[in-house]
Amino acid sequence: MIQPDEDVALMLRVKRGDREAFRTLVERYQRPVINIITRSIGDAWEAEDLAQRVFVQVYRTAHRYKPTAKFSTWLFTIVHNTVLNEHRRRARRRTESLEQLQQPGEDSAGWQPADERSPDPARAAAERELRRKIRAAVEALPDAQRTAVILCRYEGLALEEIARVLRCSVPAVKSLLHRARVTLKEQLRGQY
Amino acid sequence: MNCHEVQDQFDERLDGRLDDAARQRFEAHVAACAVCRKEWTDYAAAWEALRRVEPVTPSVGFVERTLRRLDEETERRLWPVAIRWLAYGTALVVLGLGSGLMWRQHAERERARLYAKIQGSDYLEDFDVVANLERLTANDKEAL
Repeated sequence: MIQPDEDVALMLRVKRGDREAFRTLVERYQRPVINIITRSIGDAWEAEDLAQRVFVQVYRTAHRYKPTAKFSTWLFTIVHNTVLNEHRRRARRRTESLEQLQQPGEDSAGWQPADERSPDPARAAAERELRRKIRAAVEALPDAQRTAVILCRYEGLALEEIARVLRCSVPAVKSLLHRARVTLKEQLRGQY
Repeated sequence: MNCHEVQDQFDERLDGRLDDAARQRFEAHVAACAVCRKEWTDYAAAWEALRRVEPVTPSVGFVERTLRRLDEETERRLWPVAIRWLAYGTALVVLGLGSGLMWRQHAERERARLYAKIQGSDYLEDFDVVANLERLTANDKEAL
């Protein structure tokens, strides 16, 4: 069943090799894709590289696209799988070269330029530290929980859409979110 | 409502899935119960805290770089395909030329043998002219 969705129409044009339609989709979805990946892996530079890979894959697999759901659902499924692969790759790399483990305090994800406009440097530093802890807590969640949290909290997807992205039932998504929230509550208790 | 029922509704309350009556019962219990109030405050605060992490803005030129990468990767993927087809084509041409050359040599040898037979009168009786007629040239036929 074809959805009355402008993105679906664009994607059908991409399927026929229309590069302008592809450009429009990249322009439209660059921000959510980069943000989902950044929140998942914690590295904004690497997130852009992975986001490019996601879009290239969208173009290459366009011939397999079937407009049975919203385009964003299909796109976020590719994003989720890309992030999973990246986590697996990182886990392998960590196992293979323990000596390359990051030194404490070198967390590139947590790096932010000093906010010179802040009237209270101590407060600004505390706020940065809190944001770093929040990012770390989200990144540390199990894969499916993390994606459910990001799609729900940051991208505002409905439970049904998250279920389609994760290929599970709505009750399963509710359960994922509940477990993630309990973990986050424990991790962040007393931090703010 | 008891504490267990209220804590079971934390997610529905956060996601705005409680109807008015259920929400009022929830709020009334939380206001009256210090344990649930503390749990709910921490639960909701952690969820709210996620908002503090600001969204990332894509770097300038992201779209152009993505399109360029698509071109580069498409080109990289096409080269091996082109090389493979070129190899197939070359193999076919070599095979065709080789077969043609072998066939030609074979035909020439056969013609020479038949001609020798025709020229040698000893073999003339054994030579099956009708079966080999198509192999003979006009000169061979004339010689016969």
